Amino acid sequence: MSVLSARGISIRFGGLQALDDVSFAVNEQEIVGLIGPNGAGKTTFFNCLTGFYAPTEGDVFVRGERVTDLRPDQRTVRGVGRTFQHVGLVRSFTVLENLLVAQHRNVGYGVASGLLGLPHARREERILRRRARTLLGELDLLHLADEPLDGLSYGMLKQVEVAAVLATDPDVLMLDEPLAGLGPEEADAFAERLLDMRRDLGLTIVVIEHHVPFMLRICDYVYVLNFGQLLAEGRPEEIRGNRDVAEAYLGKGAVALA
Amino acid sequence: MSATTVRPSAAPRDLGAAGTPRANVEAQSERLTTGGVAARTAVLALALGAVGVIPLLVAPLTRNLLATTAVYGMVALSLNVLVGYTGQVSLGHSAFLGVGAFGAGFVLTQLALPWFVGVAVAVVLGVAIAALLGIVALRVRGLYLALVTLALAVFAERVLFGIEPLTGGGAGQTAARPAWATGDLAYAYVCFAGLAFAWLLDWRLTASKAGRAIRALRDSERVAASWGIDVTRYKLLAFVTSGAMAGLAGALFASITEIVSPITFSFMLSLSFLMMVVVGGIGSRVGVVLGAALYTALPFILDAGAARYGWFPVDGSAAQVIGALLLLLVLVRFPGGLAQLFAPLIRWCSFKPMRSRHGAASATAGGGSDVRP
Repeated sequence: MSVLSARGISIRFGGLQALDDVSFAVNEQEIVGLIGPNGAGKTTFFNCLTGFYAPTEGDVFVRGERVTDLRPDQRTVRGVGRTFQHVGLVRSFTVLENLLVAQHRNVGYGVASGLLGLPHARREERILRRRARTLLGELDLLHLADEPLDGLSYGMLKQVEVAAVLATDPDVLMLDEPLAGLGPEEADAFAERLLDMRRDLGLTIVVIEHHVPFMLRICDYVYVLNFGQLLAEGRPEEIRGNRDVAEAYLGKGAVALA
Repeated sequence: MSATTVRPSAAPRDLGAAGTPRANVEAQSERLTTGGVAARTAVLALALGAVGVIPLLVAPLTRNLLATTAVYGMVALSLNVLVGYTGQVSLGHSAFLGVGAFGAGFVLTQLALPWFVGVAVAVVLGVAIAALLGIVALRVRGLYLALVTLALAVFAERVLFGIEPLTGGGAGQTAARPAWATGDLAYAYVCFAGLAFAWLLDWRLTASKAGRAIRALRDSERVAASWGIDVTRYKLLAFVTSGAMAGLAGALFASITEIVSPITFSFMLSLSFLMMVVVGGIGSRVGVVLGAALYTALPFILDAGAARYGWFPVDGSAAQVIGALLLLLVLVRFPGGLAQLFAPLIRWCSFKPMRSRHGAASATAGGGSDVRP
């Protein structure tokens, strides 16, 4: 069964048909890429999958359960975690505090026990802190734990954002342009890290990215969007040789990507 | 599931990536020495004791002023939950306070029920009015929400508090003190206890997941939602907490002078509360309570100064001007308010090392954690 899938998603913004009948499926532990020129509707599609936009038509499913009418936080609880194009972090918190909030859905104690300061709530707070530090350690970010976000570079923020989404304990990790702000070597390291995370955490990963070689390298399956429509889908080697895709990216007459 | 798009699973490709070595993640939290803990405990106990004996030391006529200060401190904490944690400005806290005060007065005088019932009703009314405002806040925010709260304050002052059967109209509603605390001294301690309760509630809120979620919402509702936080629920929780504190404050306020009259709860009072929070330091418990104490006591301090020293330039009538100047000074020079001035001291007292890698910076308004004790 698909971990995350969508059927016939269409969305209109006024006169603009931003997405037109897009279907999509991600299987367990796949890395699936979503590519396409600027304005193709990639982020809009992400927002439909994660509940930030309500599609005009079509349905979204998480492990077969229809989630089309659920709010973003309800989808997160079902295991869908995402990053944002412009760094989704709480700016006034330190790195560690961001990871504490991000664990929200896995906090066992209720609001009332927290307010009363019951022993089990305080014990769990300590566990949350330890978990956050462990996660930061695994991503080599532990030295940043007590830093405010203001001082961090864009690339660092992107990494902290991934750590925060991992702290929500997702089944599906959805990354919106994770390479923005990273240099070539950092991008390589990030590719390795994604593959490691898939293997070690059993994650399923969906990536939006402009960087075609990166996508063709790490993805198991690629969807290509153009002007809100699905232009092509297939394994990376099929996409590489696809004439339509090459034209959409490079212009008329191009025959192959990369 | 036949309804979903199905395609065969693409086999994962293994690029032969070597596993990254796991970093050693021993929690390296900064620990205090036993002496450090003892020193902080001693200082805090002394400070608490000093505050505790103030009502005994002041002139008997000043005891009601102390009770008022404690109640305004509660309102400042209540307002701080909205301004500091949710980032929304309320100009309706005079109405919150008034609803609690009139509710308690009605229960005590018209229904002749015990004091604790009056307090409970005041809290429930505070919660109810705050929840109403919270529902509005789900749709409207920022300046527009501030205008809605302003309308609430004016409506409460001009209309709601003028309904004679409920509030006694212009003559006011009496609200007797509890039988076990009829004296000014005893009642001042009751108000201090109320302040302590609100303080504890606020502390627990910020130290638990609810407070974190609320503050995350303030920065970005999208991000908070993407982390599984129910935006509606936690926004309402913030308003309800604020309303409960203000309602309780109202009940205590009613019995300070034992009469509640509508003119007390003017819109100007809401502005004063906002100034207490801003000058005290938005987001800081110590700060807003100090701010409340400063603004409540200022006219009396100035009066006392003018009465005692010939050279003293102003008397209590200048309090409003001085208060406004203080606000300007804070806005321009000290965005963290009084809490920013005392940041190193507050940091030390909250059982943190005096000198960490980032110094006291995290205790100021500028960066890092924005909840200050």
